Order: sequence, then structure tokens, then C-alpha cells
Amino acid sequence: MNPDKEATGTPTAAATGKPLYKRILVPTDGSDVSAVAEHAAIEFARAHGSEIVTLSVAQSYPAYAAAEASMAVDPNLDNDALRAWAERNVQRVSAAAAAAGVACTPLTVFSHSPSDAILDGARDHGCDLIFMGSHGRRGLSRLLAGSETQKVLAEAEVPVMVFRPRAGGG
Amino acid sequence: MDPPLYRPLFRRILVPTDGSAASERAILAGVAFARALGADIVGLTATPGFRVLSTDPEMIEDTADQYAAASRERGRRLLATIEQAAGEAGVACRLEQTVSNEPWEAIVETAKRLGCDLIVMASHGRRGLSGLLLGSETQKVLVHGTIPVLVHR
Repeated sequence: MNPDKEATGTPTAAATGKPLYKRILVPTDGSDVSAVAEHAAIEFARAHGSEIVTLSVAQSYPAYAAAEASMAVDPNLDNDALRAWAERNVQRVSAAAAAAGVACTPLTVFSHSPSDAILDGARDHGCDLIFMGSHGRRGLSRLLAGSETQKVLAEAEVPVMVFRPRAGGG
Repeated sequence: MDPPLYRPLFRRILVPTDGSAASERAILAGVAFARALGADIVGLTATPGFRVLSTDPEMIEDTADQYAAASRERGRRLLATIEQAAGEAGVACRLEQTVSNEPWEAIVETAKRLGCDLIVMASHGRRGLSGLLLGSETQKVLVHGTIPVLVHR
């Protein structure tokens, strides 16, 4: 049961002395592809002695400001639901990390722009690697469907590990 | 459920190069990553096919044979950078050179054919100054590929 004993055959942090990456940012939105990235990040962190910072962005839409109908909506109600959703996302990652013996810091933020929140999160928390899923519509070649992913890739100061949706559940 | 014996996430890493400064940096990063993980690497470069009419100064050679020889030689030079970096790091390395006008296609195809489980590449390559957020080859690899891509700036 001791993961250190089982981790033979690959140089681990213990074997090489220092982790390759100290702190991995793992943005999560609760999607399937996000789960792929979360799982890989936890495995990677466990094998290589990294810690995880997981971030879920409660995306507050600026639509309220413009929509006349917004008068009929209680923005606090909506924000509470968003916050709860983001909390659930990061708590799930934290629980999985804890089960693997990986240190994990959960963060939730409100932002209009998930990519900005991710870039800020990486910078503010000293992350040296980002693991994230990219939503994509298969066969649609014009653009990465995830424009947020594109923006993170273009502007991140650290390497970004991008996971794609699994093909056929494999 | 008991955790299985630790199975490395990444065992064979594809490192494509187009000779740009960005891809040279990605090569070094990819080799360092492979070394830390105990993975081996596949170095790849795709050279464009011969066209009679071309504005590419690499295609000034006047016959297809001469062009093919010159581009093989150019490809060898690019791959030598990877071979040297891998050699210095003690990382096992295999080199692949393909003729393709669509580098992203060569990258996705080679990854599949050789069982690579990760691609390490730069966010921008040679044609990186076109104002796009992300290099077009990188973007297409992300859209069409299914394995993870570690993108370096």
C-alpha cells in the first residue's frame, strides 16, 4: 500500500532529490475532460512529489448589467449557486488528492474571464505547471472550441499540459 | 479499490521540431521532462513536399530529387539537435523524418503510429508572428489529436 515502495522503475522525486514541478495548477469545471486532467495531475503529483492548487472559476456573466430583465433576478441567489458549484468542483479534487496523499489547496474565484482567473491563479500561487482539459468539438478544425484554453496557452508563463476528451471512452 | 502498481503516465514523448527558436526551447524542455520521468522520446521533423512553384527559399533547388536530398539534409540537421540533447541527458531517442505539407498531420500520425502518449511542443513555431493567439500547427494538433500536449511558450 505504500506508494513509495510501489513506485519502482521510474525516478521519483525521492530518487532524484527535487520535484520536477513543485506546484501544479489544476483548473476544474466539473466536466469529463476536466476530470481526466485532474486524475492525471494527482497521479503525476504523487509520483513526482508535487503539490496541487485546484481552481474553479464561478463565471459571473456581465449580462445582468445590460438586461432589463435582470431586475427580476436576484443576483445573490445566482452567485450563491455558482459559488456552491465551484466549491463542489474543488472539493472533489481535494478529496481525490487527499486520498492519494497529495497536498492540495482548493480555490474558488468569481470572474468574467476563466482564462484570466487561471493565469492570475498560476501567477499568484507560484504554480510552475498547469494541467487542464480542453473542450473540443471533434472534427471541427477551425478553432479550438476552448477559446479560454487558447488564451491560457498563449499567455501562460509556465508550461500547460492540455488534455483532450477521450475518444470513445478509452 | 487498491491503487494499481504505479504506471508511468508518460512513457514515450513525441518532440516535433521545425527548427524555430521556440521549438528548440521545447526540445530542451521535452528532453528534461523525459529524463525526469524515465520516458524515451521520439524526435520528429516534417519537411514540405516538392512543389515546382514555390516562394520557399528552401525549395530553390531545381529538381525534385535535389530538393528531396536537400530537405532530407535539413531535416537531419534539425533532428541532430534533438539527438544531441537526448544523448547529453541520457534519454533514449528515436528520430523520424516525414515529408508532409501539414506538419500537424505528421505529428498526430507519428504519435499514433509509434505509440507516443504525450506531445511536447511550442505554442508557436516558425510562422508564429501572424498575430494568432496560438500557432496554427499547435492548434490543429490540439484539435485533431487525442493524447495530451505539453505546450511551452
